[in-house]
Amino acid sequence: MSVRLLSSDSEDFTVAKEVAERSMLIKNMLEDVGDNDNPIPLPNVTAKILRKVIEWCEHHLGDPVTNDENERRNTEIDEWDQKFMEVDQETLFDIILAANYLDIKPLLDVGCKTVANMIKGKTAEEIRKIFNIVNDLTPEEEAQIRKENEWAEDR
Amino acid sequence: MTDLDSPCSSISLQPPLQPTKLRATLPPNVLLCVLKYLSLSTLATCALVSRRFKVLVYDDEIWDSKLQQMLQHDTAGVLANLLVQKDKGALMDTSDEFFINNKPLNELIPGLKTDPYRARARAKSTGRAREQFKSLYLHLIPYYTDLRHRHSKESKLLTDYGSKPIECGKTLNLLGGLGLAHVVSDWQEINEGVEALCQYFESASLHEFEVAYDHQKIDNMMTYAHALVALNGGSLCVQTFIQKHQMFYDNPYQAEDNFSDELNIKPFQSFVATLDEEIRQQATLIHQVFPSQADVFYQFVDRVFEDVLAEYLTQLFAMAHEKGSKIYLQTVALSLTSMSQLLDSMIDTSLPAHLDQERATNLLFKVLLPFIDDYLYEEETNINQACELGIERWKVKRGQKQGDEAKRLNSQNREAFKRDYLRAFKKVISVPVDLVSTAATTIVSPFQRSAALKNSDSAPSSPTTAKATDSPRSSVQMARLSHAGSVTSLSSATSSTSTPDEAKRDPNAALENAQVQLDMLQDYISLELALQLIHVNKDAERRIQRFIQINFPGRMKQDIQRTYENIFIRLLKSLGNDHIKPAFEMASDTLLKYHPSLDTSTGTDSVPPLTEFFGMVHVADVTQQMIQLYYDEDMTKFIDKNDFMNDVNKEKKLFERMLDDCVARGMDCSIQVLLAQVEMLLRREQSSSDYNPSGDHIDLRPTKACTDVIQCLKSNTSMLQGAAEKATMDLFFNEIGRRFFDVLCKHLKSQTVSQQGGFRYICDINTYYDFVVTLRQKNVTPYFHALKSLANVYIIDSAQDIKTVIHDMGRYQGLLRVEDLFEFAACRKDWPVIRKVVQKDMTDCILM
Repeated sequence: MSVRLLSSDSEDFTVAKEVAERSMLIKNMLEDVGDNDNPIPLPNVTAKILRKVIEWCEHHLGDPVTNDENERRNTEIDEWDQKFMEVDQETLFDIILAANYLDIKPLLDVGCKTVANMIKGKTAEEIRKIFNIVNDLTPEEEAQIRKENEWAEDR
Repeated sequence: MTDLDSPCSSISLQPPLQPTKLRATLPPNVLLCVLKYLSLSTLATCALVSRRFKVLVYDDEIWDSKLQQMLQHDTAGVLANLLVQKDKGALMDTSDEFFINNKPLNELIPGLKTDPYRARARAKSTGRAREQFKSLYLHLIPYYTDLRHRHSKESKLLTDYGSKPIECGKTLNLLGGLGLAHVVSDWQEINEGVEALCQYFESASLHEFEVAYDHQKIDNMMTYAHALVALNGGSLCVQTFIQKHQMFYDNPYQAEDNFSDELNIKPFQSFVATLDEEIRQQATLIHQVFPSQADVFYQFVDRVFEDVLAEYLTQLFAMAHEKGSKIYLQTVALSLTSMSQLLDSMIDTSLPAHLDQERATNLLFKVLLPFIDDYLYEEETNINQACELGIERWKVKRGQKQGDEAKRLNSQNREAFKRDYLRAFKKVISVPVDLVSTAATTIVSPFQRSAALKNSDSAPSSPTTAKATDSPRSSVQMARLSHAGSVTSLSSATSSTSTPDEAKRDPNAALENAQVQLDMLQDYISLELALQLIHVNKDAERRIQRFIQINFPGRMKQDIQRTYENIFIRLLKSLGNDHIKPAFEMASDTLLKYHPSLDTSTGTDSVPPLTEFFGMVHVADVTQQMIQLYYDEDMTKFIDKNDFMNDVNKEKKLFERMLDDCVARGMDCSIQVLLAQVEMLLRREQSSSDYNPSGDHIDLRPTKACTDVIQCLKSNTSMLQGAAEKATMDLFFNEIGRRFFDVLCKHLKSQTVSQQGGFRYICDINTYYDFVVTLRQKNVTPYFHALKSLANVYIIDSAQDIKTVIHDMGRYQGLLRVEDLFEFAACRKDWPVIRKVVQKDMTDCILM
């Protein structure tokens, strides 16, 4: 049993149903539509990213579904995932967006952890650069926030 | 900023540092997800990135999740306090979006783009979660970082809280939670320190607790119990507490103590009483020592049940099983009663510590679970055996009885006897208490039984004290006595002089005697058997009812209910299919084979198979009433009467229908036999001179044939009065009346009637008519009325008048045809003389 997926740039992917169903979006869609030969269009995902996502899904096919909050809170990333996420930042963000859109929670978590690791220990300016953000805080606001967060300084 | 404002925008104002062109950035929910993985200091930095970031960093979702993480092993009620402090908008109330099929609304409707930031803003983020986390954090962090390099014993925590174990336990618990939140970079190291301190604290407190326990210092016990519960739920402390109870290693009660005296489980009952007492005492202690959320009472009772009670029960039941299935069943039922006392104690709200009904029942259920299947199986097997055995035994007995013809026929007044018996029996059976009386009747020893009988002697006005098993006997006595005409009421029967003699004799012999008496009465159906089966059945149902009452959960409940139903169904099947049905078939066969004989020795008015059959109808009716009574009194407690899909109700309907069918079929046969007998009687007894006397003397008494016939009909029909439903009886009497009319007409037409004989003829007809009236059948009476009117034909002189009478159709209400009337007229002795006149008119009549 396989499913056809159509990327935004009209590339046709054929994957095993179980693989595709790692995505809650696709799973629900299949439940709604039933067996169908028509490809599922995924207008928010390019072929490049979709290939990555499928690769991840195939590798994690046997993973048990965990609802344990602790498991998800754990900041550790397993080795394969680390390798998998060694991509340029744009691709990383695209993968995260795709995981978010396709509703693949574990992949989204891995992506977020990767981003969190990127941010760790960085200054505010560095973080702005990563996210491509302009500082819109006035110096007074900045001072205020600094004061509010004194308690959270490293000990 | 631009990017965050419109996530789809691909233009960035700032030239990116990296050569890659950022086409998209992350939506806020993803950013929140990222932020959740950050340490506190990084979060503080993130708040300085931009206004948007600040909002996200302060969001409740992040801090709620941190709080939850910290408090997930909370056993000191901190979380509960927090929840009370904040109003309900607090912990993780973030999903204020609309979801359909797990998809947010804006995703489902293409083209509808809600600004995700506004959606966030609408979800109320109060900032309280962050404040709460902050205050907890600031409270804990000094103790936490203090553990970085130090050995547990001289930690700041113990210095501050050493004298307050409960606070200490609480704080340690929170430190453990803080460790999970990874608030500092060297969290692993510190967590080890926390862990070590916890262990140290736990063992020290446990020691103190034990010391306090040994000295029965309840205050100290309470302090350390609360501390340990606050630390980690206190499971070790609870275990210690339970294990230290002497019941678990030193209990003098042995299952072998039971059964020393056959049917007695007193030792078990006293054992349960001790347990009960102990549980009640411990409830008080536990309430004093442990906080209620630790649920120690439940664990304690659980252990008592599992370690002490279950072991005992296993042995007890095994021993009972060896003694035979009856004793086993009794034992199970009795022990259940004892144990439901425990149940009552556990849910006793007057105790400081108690359980709710459901959990208490579950505890008992856990203990009994291994036995219930066996028990139910045994119960059904027992009933099956009892039914088979009863029927088998009865068949054998009946076989013997058949050879005993003389004895059976000797009782001349059988009908009267039977009627009285039935009346008496009905009285007995309709005393509801009798059937509902104490459930454990079968365990009553013979001595007790006779004692009970004596009791009823001394208290004659309360027949209900007589044990159910006595009812066949007492009713027989009653029947016998009422037959003698001396005593009729139940109370006087039991108080009569013959009863003490009866009681003094070996009760078994007396019972045997009663059975013989009974079996003389019922050749095909045995009331005694029915009663016996009902009693065995009732005992079983009683036992099972106790299980039903406890209301076990789940599958067991259904199993118990099913067994309950099956046992009753089994009773109906045995009584119906194995007993009553074959009996009726046999009776019908006998009826069909019967030919009215001219043998005068049997008396003219009784038809043996008929009498038998009618007696049987009575007995079957009584049996059915017994079943109905039993059903009403007992079964309806746990079976919905109106549930027509219920197996019991279906089976009962079936049983009743079967009975009706049997009776109807039998009735049909019996009518034929009865009428054959009547025909025979008429043929034999009616002498030709009856209506054609030679002398002038006019005899105005009914002829012998007439009285005999009526006697025969009367005795046979009256027996049935009240034996079956009124509708059935009406049908029966109606049929008898019609057919009797036909038979009578046929007979009368063959007679020759003179004018003098005519008076006697009228006399006879009047007598017949009077009898028929007593049948109270509206449809039948007019026929005989017509016959009565017709009879005048024989005493009229002139042929002219005869023809008038014949043609006056109004007289006969159209029930007799003219042809018939002529035939009757032809019976006149002088018919050849007057014939011309009458028949000529007939021709006229036709011409008219």
